[in-house]
Amino acid sequence: MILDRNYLHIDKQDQVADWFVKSMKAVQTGSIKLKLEGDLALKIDIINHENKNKIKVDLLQPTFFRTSDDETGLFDKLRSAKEFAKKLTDNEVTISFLRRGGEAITLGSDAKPTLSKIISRSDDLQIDSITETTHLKRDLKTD
Amino acid sequence: MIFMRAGFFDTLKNEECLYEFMSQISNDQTAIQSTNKWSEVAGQVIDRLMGKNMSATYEFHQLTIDMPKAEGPDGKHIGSVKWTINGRIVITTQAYEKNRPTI
Repeated sequence: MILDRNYLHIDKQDQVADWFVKSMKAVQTGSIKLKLEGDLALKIDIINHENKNKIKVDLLQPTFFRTSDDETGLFDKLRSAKEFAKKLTDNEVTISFLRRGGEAITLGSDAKPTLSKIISRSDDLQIDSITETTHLKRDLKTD
Repeated sequence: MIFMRAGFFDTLKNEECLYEFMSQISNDQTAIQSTNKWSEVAGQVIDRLMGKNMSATYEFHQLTIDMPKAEGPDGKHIGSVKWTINGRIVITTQAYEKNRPTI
């Protein structure tokens, strides 16, 4: 039942991951909306409170973000992204992934895992809703 | 009584979800490990969003970016800057045949 592997692995010298986390720290407030073919597919809200960044990523049309040719979906990678979540905590950044408005998973600084710690073995990764997590996992996985 | 029934079915539904979720995690252990690098995953998502014949609109609302102080050569402070971005970027991609005969 316990995941021993990190599907989403970050090399120590992975500059893309470093750059990505630092960029998220630099963005203080505001929002970004992404429309694909005219339909709202993604909404990102950034809030800065006491020098801590909270980023809410709402996947309004999750199936658009499926990664192809992969046995594990993007969500599996995120759910087991311990190294990435640790990097976020170190930079006082929190990312919450929502599915059509419902909170599914939180990574980084504000994550306070209780039961989900048994699954992820990480202090930086919290499953907010099992129902939303299950739906999101299904949406992001290639059939 | 109605509330009790609703509560009971909600509990049952949650338990079903939990069971399904745990089963999926168990199955994941035997799943083949494929793309597992952050940069590759990011690339796949970008590819997906920049697919053929796609139109993507990015709308920025009061997006504030605080560029921290940087140090130049000899430890010189280059300074910091705050950007605010408002507006819209539209990216449209179109696929065409490379060997299409020209007139």
